[in-house]
Amino acid sequence: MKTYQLHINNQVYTVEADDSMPLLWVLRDLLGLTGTKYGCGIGQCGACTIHVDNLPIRACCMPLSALGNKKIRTIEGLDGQHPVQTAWKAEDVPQCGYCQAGQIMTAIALLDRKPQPSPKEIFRAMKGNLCRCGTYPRIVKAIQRAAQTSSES
Amino acid sequence: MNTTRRNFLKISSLATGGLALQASLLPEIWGQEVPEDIRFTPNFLLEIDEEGWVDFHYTRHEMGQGSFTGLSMIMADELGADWARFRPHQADFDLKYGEQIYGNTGGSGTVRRMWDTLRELAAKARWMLTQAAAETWQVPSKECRAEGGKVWHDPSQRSLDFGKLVAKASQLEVPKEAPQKTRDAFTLIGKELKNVNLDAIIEGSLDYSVNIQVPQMLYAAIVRAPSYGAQVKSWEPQAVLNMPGVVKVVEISARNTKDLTLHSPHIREGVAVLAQNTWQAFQAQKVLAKHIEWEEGKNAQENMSSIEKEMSSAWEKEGRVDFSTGKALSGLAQAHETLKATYTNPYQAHALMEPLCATASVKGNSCEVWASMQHPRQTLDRIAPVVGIPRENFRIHNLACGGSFGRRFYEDYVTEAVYLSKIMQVPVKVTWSREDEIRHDGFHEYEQVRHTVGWDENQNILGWETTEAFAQPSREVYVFPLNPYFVQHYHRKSVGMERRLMTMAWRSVHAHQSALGMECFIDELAHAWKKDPLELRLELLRNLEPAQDFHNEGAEGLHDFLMDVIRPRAIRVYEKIKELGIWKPDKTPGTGLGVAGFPFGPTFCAEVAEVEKRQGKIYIKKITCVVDCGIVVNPQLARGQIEGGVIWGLSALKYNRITIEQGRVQQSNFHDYPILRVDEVPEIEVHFLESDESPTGTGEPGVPPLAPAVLNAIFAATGKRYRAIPLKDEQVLV
Repeated sequence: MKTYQLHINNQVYTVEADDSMPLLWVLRDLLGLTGTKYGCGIGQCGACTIHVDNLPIRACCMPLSALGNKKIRTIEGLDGQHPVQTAWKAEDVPQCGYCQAGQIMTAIALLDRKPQPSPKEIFRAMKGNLCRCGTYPRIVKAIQRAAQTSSES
Repeated sequence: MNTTRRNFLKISSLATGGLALQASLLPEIWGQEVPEDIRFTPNFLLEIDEEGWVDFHYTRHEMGQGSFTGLSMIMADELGADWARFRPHQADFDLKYGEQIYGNTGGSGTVRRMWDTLRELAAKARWMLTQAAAETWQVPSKECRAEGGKVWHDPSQRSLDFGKLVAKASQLEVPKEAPQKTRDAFTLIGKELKNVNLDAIIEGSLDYSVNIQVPQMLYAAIVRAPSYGAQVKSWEPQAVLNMPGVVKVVEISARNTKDLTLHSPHIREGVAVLAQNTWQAFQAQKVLAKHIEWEEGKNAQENMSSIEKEMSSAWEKEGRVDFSTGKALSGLAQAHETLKATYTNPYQAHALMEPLCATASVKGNSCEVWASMQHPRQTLDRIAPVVGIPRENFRIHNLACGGSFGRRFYEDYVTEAVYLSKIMQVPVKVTWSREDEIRHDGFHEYEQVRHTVGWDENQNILGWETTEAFAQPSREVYVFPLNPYFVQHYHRKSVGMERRLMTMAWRSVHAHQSALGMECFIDELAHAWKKDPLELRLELLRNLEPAQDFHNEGAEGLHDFLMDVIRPRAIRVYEKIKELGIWKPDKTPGTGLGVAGFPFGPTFCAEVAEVEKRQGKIYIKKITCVVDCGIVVNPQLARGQIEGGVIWGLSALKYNRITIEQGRVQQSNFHDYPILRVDEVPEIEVHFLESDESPTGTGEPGVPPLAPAVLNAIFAATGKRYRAIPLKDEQVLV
């Protein structure tokens, strides 16, 4: 067990844990940041997507020891008014909602990199995020809406 | 928000459900301090405070199907409430609720079953508020109306907020009856209001069962029996006891707990490891798995070929007759021509995004539970005897979940948490890993269905026989044993076999399997008769003659349901497809249209699939859905349910199949049990028929028609007939 300092959502957290403990479980079990979800543990479903230095990362496969001083952002780090969250609300995307934090974090990272993505670029970015309820059509619409909003502002 | 709840309405007992909503029945429960002037009872569905806030207690389970929003809208509309001051809450389960109020959530039936109940309750409350205003103003109550959280007196242009009326209204007697709104007076029903959980989901703050943390809680992971029915023989804890965080290893077995599987029929034997966090428990679980010996029965020898072999003899077995009329079998024997075909569905997993999870805290002779449950009453009935704690001593929090689709109807994961907490006497949270969730699921069972139909020289049907064989005991098969196209001389039976794997309800249950056979077969019949598949369906439905001779109990009821409810809806749905102009028999080469429809409960959904074959691959271009589900409470959410049903069906059609070798499930995670991804979804269009009938459900009806519609379209495009899913030898793409 080692002591780590993590920079999460502009706050510093101190945790004591095993080097290999994935960030997902540090967030969820040690820090109570439960917005980030466990889905598969092997980077196949995207439910645990967070940002590490603004890049979308699967927290279930990210060992604590690899984080250093990198800046971590989770769904709790958004204010609920982020243009992507606003678009998600406008399209009434979620059903059960479990995968949506991961979907939103992936979508934000896409739009940061590509403010006006083509449908193919949306598919490429989002195909690693699974949704069993089948909200995909609305996810695509919400991303297009967020892109539209940012081009108008 | 701090609101006063000093005064609120007394709602009378329901005529039907034995519901006593009375302010005088106000027990203190669970040591919770009840302030003198705040009256609370678990039977309250509605509370209105002096600021006009309406609190509504939702007594079903929200799992993504949207009925939390739907029931809230029904209640608010009938009450005449202000939606901006309407607060829905998920109610804890309590035995004090009757079955009518807190029954199971399943069968796409929540809105259907609660529609009348909620409207009756709300109408009485509205009547009392209106009466209170009329008395205040000294005007006839019939001149008053409630809308937007106020009672209005239009002749004098006065209004009073609900909050100003609660004191007076709570003094009134609850009426035995109160008039309900007519459809033209609805202000919320039919509107596209947002999901009431929307903000919490988008902000990541919705409380799913997997988020629960309570003080002193231990985290458990369980190594479960590798084949169905296997029992724990021996285990060696040393290898894990030194691992980080590991506290204890505990056996869950019938030899330790009498009648374990009798009380909790879905639990699997296993050995649990308890640790200080989920990660440590999962790590130790992997090591522990190597140090357990199992006593395995004959299921450990089973593989897919042995199950398929057993299934192939099902046709000769007697089985259970579900429906039998006229002279089906002798008619078949006299037929001029016959058509016979067999269709196959595989085992399928639920693959819920949120793996199963439950937390329990047993203290002495009481227990608190946090879990997501479709059927908390049945779950309580099953977990209580396992730990020997009276049902009355349970406090049960029913939490939102990350998908259920039938899985959380069963009790096994809750039993595990309660069992372990009883032994540890501290709170225990059991989390299933993804691998646990796939391998130890209760599966949609392997099934085959065979149809045989015979006709005379003039294409008059003389007899029709259906045999459906399931890889589970037939007593557990709840089929919809009807043939929407022919009932006069129809014989239908179900054949079960011994269970090889745990099986459970899966989105649309047996309708999914039955629809594949029935709706592909009717397409085959249309081609054999050289008729248009849509026209043949309409022709048979319109000419459907009632049966005269019923040979089995219960057949009359099913028959009348078909004739009176399903048939008119099916005809309307197929006529709508024609009206939409999407059914074009003149097709360009390489393209194909397929249609299929099926009832789920009283809802009827038909889908038209449009496919195209290009360079050896089949592209699903578009799925158009037409649904008759009565009044659509929230079109935006209902459309999402039908879209989701189509996508669920596409996953099943394209990928989903669980296989076993030596009794062991061969799939374990999304890499070998893929579900549909965002780039694989065709265009989906949903049409709801206008209706004045009560709502009948949308969660499941979108699933059953999907596979047959696509397979029929593939036949139209290629001439190749597929009779099994998932498609193995074709690449189906968007």
